[in-house]
Amino acid sequence: MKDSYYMYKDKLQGEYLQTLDKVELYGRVCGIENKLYNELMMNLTDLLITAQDSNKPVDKIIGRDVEAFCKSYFEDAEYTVRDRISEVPKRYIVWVWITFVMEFLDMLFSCMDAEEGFSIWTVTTNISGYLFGFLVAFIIFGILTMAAKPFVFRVKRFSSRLYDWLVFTACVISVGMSIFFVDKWAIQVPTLAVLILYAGYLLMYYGIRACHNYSLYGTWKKTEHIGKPDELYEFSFRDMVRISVDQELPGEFKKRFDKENQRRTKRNKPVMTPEEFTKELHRESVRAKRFYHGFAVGMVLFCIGSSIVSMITESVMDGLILFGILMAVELSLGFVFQRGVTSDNPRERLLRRCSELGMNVIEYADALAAGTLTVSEEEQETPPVSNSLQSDVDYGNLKE
Amino acid sequence: MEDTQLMKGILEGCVLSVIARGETYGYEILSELERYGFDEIGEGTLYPILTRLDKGDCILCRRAKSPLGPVRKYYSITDRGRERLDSFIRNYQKVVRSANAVLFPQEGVQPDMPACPADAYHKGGTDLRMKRESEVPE
Repeated sequence: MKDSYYMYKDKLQGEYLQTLDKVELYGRVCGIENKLYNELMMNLTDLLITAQDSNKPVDKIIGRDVEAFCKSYFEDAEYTVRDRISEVPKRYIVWVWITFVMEFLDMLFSCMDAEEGFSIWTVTTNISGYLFGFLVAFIIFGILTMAAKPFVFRVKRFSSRLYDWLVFTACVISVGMSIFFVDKWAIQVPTLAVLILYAGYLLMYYGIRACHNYSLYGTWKKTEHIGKPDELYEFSFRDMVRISVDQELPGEFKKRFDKENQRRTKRNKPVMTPEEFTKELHRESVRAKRFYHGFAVGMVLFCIGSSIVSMITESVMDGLILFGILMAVELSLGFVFQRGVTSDNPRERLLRRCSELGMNVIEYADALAAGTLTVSEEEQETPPVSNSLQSDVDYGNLKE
Repeated sequence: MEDTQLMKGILEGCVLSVIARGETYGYEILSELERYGFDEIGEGTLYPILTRLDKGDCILCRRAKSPLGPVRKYYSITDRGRERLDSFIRNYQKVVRSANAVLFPQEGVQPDMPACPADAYHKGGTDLRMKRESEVPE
């Protein structure tokens, strides 16, 4: 999991938290690119947590005028017009991929149902939805951003949740207007032309990105996979164990435990002991695994059934295509679920090994660092850290 | 710190000087500046300066977990940064000397007189400010 400032937000309290909320909202309204936004917010979160820890007032960090601070912090953070423009292709790449696949499937089905005298250019797409949708969305979001900015500091109740609702309403209006315009003014264009346009966009995007990466890092790969040495987070195995033990396990456990007992108190039921709660968690995990397996079997049966129906009512080819699409969707979902189910395995193995040795996790990490213990092969294969950090784990030379 | 235009240029040199003393991070730089009297400098002023210095290859930025949790940026000076700091100090001395000569003519300050301890930086570590005080005619 990528480190986000959001993970540390709950460490802030009172005016420190309120200030971060306001700055966060202003940053969102500014529409800064996600990576830069997260970096700026992480930097500020660290400053505020450190200030809170040393009882330093907020105004010593950000000054007395939060609005002026935000303007200076977000708008002067080297986020130039050039940056904004270069953001645009990246922002629409997912949308282009989706519409490209949809148009491609539409074209494919049209070709399969084709009769005599069919030409590939006769397949058309109504692009008024795209055009007007874009136009309306551009105008509405522009107005929303411009209108919302002054209210961030003028209206006390203006919060991130309210802004989320406004964005949601703007999305609904944009979609509604585009549907309205599709019926009102149909602009029919050959689907092939649309496909060529999208393919050109995708080729240009990936081509330029590859050239850019090659000139900067000497490789064509995606920048997220390169990992610039000076940008890698420096974690030792021991740090990771500490973070995991201090924050994730007991924190998460305690939160759920308290919540469950609060619920029970409200319903006048006897509260649970930590042991009972642990057993309940285990039962819950077994139930979840069973549910996922049952769900997967059900989906496969549904795919087969729908495909057979399609083969009987339409044609064998239609049935096979439907089966392929449904299976692709199911396998993608299954992959996501499977990762969720198996992500706890390394942790379980680590805890099992600790219990075998009669140590807690910190003692185990210390023993490893001191070289009095060796790591079992099983653990070496799957270090107990998140995927994004595995590259930094060194089992041979543990850093203090 | 009312005169923003005057401050902007000076701050960059001061930030670079703080970083030149050893690897440091945002909060520490702010505290250090505050200790020297820059008490109205906030992160909103500091961050753009650090970004500018980073983009100009004057400082190196390393990310690591802070003891309190979030990922923190640690800054250290580069050779280019040292050159820029030297150049800043030279220019600063010159400007201060000239400005002092114009602003305080009654004190007999001459443009070629050492202006501040920064002179010592270039003249082998002697605190010339002390010398200057004794040289100024009564």
